[in-house]
Amino acid sequence: MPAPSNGVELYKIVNGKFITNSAAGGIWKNPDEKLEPGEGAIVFNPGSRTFTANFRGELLQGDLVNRIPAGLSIKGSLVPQSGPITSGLQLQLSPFDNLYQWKTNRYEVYTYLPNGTWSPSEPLIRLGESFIIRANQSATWSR
Amino acid sequence: MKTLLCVGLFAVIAGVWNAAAQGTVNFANGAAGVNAPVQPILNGAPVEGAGWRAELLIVKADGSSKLIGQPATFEYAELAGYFFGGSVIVPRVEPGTTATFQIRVSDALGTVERFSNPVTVTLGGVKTPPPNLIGLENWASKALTMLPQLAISIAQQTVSRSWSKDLLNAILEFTESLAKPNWVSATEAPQTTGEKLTLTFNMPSFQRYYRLRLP
Repeated sequence: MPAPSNGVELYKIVNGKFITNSAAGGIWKNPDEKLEPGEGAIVFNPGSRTFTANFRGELLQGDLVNRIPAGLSIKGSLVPQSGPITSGLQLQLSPFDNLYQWKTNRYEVYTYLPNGTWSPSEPLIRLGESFIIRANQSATWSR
Repeated sequence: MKTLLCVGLFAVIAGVWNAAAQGTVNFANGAAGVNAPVQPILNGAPVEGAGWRAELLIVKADGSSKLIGQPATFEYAELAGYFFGGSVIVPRVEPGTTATFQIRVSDALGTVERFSNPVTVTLGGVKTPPPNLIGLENWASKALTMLPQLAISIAQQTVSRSWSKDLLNAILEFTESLAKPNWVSATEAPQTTGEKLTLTFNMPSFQRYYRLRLP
């Protein structure tokens, strides 16, 4: 991902903790940082202009497993697909696990219920969008 | 077949964080690490639906508490006892700092209430999602308070207020404005009528609000 304008920050969650990478002078502070398939990140853009980051690669084949650790993690679909997170993207979590989706200026909190539904509603994930999961125990997201 | 894809897994946050950001908390008794449904309180009936509500209070350093956010309603059927109020902004408390909360559960008629144990969490906000109320305990052991009911009856020239005779020490107070209340205690002694204590006044010529205060 090319370094964008000064002040842009990229956050990942590693072992439940946020780590920060920042851009200055056209380079990332940590240019070797990796973003693996199925892993998500949060980008903070302090400027008023949006920017586009393009990612290219080969579509993953076969049985795909995205491992979700206990605690906080940022995840995205291994399959380039949008839709409702469980009925469409087939993510199953443990009862009362949480999913956080960024909505303009705050996180919307979703809770996976014991009956397999979501409160307040099933999250709709856009293509290429990541989200935060707070899981009570580790899980696997298989496709 | 291999296909090129062009996606980025990002949640993009654009210029909305600032130094005045306020903390957040997930107001729910069912969440990752939290499983504390409210057990039946009255006659074994489940705590469910719009007949019940949960309110979030922030507990200040001096022990007083203040209501924040909007009340949450309870779920139904197999999820009775649970509420999912979502992210609540904690005014004037910054993300990353700790705050102590308590939950008040009451019925819509205001006849009973029950408080949770206090729970202290580190607030979310900015890039951090709202924390869950880890440490929320089973509600069964919490004291149940029967809230006093104040009844009113109006005759041609009089108005009577009555309440349970079990509340012998209760003091009836009144004020003529809720905008700038000046609560005054009724000086008359209530009369016992069956299971009730009753105070009867001449009908005032102006509006008057009443409350029952427990000393």
